[in-house]
Amino acid sequence: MIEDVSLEVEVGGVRLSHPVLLASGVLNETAHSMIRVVDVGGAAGVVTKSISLDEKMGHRNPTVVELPTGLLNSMGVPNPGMEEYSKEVLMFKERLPQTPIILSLYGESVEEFEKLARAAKELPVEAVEVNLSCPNREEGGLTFGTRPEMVYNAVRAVRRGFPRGVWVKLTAQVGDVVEVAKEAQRAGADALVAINTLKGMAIDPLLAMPVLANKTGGYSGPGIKPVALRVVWELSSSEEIYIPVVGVGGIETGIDAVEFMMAGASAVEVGSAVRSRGIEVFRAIMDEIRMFLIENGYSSVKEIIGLALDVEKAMSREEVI
Amino acid sequence: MGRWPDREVVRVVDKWEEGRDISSMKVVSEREAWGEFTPGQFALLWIPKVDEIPLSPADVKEREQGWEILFTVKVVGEATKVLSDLGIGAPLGLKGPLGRGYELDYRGKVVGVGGGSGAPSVLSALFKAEREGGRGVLLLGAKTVEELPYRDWVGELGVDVRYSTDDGTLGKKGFVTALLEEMLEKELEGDEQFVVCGPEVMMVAVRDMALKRGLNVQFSLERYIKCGIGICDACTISGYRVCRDGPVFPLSTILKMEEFGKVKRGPSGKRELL
Ligand SMILES: Cc1cc2nc3c(=O)[nH]c(=O)nc-3n(C[C@H](O)[C@H](O)[C@H](O)COP(=O)(O)OP(=O)(O)OC[C@H]3O[C@@H](n4cnc5c(N)ncnc54)[C@H](O)[C@@H]3O)c2cc1C
Ligand SMILES: Cc1cc2nc3c(=O)[nH]c(=O)nc-3n(C[C@H](O)[C@H](O)[C@H](O)COP(=O)(O)O)c2cc1C
Ligand code: FES
Repeated sequence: MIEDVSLEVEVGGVRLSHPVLLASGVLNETAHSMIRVVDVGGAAGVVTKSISLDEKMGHRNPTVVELPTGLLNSMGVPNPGMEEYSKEVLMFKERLPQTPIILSLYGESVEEFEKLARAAKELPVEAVEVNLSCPNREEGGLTFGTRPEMVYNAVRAVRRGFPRGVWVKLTAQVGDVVEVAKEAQRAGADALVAINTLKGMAIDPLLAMPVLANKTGGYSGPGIKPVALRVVWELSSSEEIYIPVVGVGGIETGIDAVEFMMAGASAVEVGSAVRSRGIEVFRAIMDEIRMFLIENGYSSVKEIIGLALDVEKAMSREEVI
Repeated sequence: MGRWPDREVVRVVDKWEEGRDISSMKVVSEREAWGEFTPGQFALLWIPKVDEIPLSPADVKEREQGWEILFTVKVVGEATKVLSDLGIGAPLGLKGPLGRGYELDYRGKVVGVGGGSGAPSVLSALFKAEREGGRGVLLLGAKTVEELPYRDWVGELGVDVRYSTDDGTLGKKGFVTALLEEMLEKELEGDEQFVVCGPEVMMVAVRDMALKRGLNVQFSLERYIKCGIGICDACTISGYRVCRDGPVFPLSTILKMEEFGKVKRGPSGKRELL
């Protein structure tokens, strides 16, 4: 029996043919790779690499450590700067005019965010993702994302400059993520993205030194999934947060994605799983979501968004009993 | 014993000069993965406190203590300089083998064309052909005789080695592509499998020769490598990741790369014209 289900979702002003997007920092330095992630990989859309006003070289190697439970990276936001990267955005849109592209912005001051937002306005991007959570640089990043008033100022600046979807990417490394998210929402954010990598490190026991040249880096992959899921659940269950949430962190399979959506995510982003399952991971996850929906009697992916938020309601489903 | 990190600490067990600013060194790995090494694959060599750079083994041999890996380094900057100055016993971090190597029938005829830092990659294919009973021809080019590696010992390999130098100090005067052209004119049999690694202008010339004569050629490319495992996009040329989809690509793929011979990217991802 062939049944079909609807996989369409909408998040913060962006309509998606299915909920699986490419996360920032993985295969998005070049337009060609982003096109491949959509054409060959099957992603519904892409988030770009985080882009700053001026060119950044990133940190020295070693920049990536493979762990049994994921990855540690200290890329340090390498990017050619906004003006140069615009070419990649234009090339992507020329080839895939219908596919959403969300431009990730990395500023080190409120002024920089404002300039970045104004530059983004001129580009054919459906939304921007404000990176307030990178653990790999001294300035900006976590310094912003852990201080509610700075989150407000940065998001406000982007909101002023950019007329379409404003997504805000949060860190899990705060006492109360809802407090930070409320500031982003108050400043005009259309959606929240959670989570960025967790700051971590690796030591080589024989050389007795950190492996990463930058010493510390960001932890991603299956090992951070429980943390990401918890943050998505906290944001979605808060009565004070009413904007949608995009889940990211350790998603490798369709079942992982279903769990995030049941915790309240309207869509998901996938990064590290490109290593474990290849570029085709996006289509694989989409197919696995579809299978789950069919096997469990759902007709649309929207039906599962937030199902796990109300435990009483979830337990009353006949299928469970 | 617990789980070991992804990088193995190895030591330099032997080292010698190959020429001006070129040296070779051997390290020994205990990791089984090296038993599966395919010529053309590469390793990431971590020089503690300095950098981590991609290098192609020129050979991998099984020894009692593990896998003996031969590297040849051409000094072009800080990391390659420090690596060249290391003494025997110096510790290095090793990760690999990485990427996809040459796909060859090693019992057949293999012709390697190498220049600059591409020589080790090509040599590894000839070592394997030699061991598996194939026939090999190695064409090596450099500016001048002192910049040609392997001269002192490559004779032992049992393959036919020919040189070219821009200044004529050894072998044919001119580029290595002239040496190749000469060979194609005089002795092409039709069953040759060509492997080429070196400066991109040289590979562009080989691509054009391959098209003209219908040669079977595999190209090993160099781009800026960071993660080495196909996630960061630093090494991508026209949508192909050199570290994961390559570094070795067949002619048919090379023809699809608009950026081949034209554009490379620096550490920030910024385009640089070649
Ligand atoms: C797959 C592959 C295999 C290679 N095999 C060999 C080999 O067997 N022997 C050899 O001598 N060289 C080889 N190289 C080139 C070697 O990696 C570079 O020469 C080396 O990284 C330069 O480092 P540096 O600090 O000395 O130079 P730098 O001063 O840092 O830079 C000099 C130039 O080297 C190149 N370079 C620098 N860092 C990198 C990097 N991380 N990845 C790629 N290129 C870089 C750039 O083009 C740069 O302009 C290989 C490169 C690749 C991609
Ligand atoms: C190599 C690498 C680079 C990254 N670069 C960025 C970045 O530039 N901006 C950003 O917001 N997140 C960046 N991230 C974080 C991811 O977007 C994502 O939030 C995190 O990796 C968790 O998802 P995952 O487990 O699916 O990888 C990067 C992650 C990795 C692995
Ligand atoms: S070096 Fe990171 S993708 Fe190739």
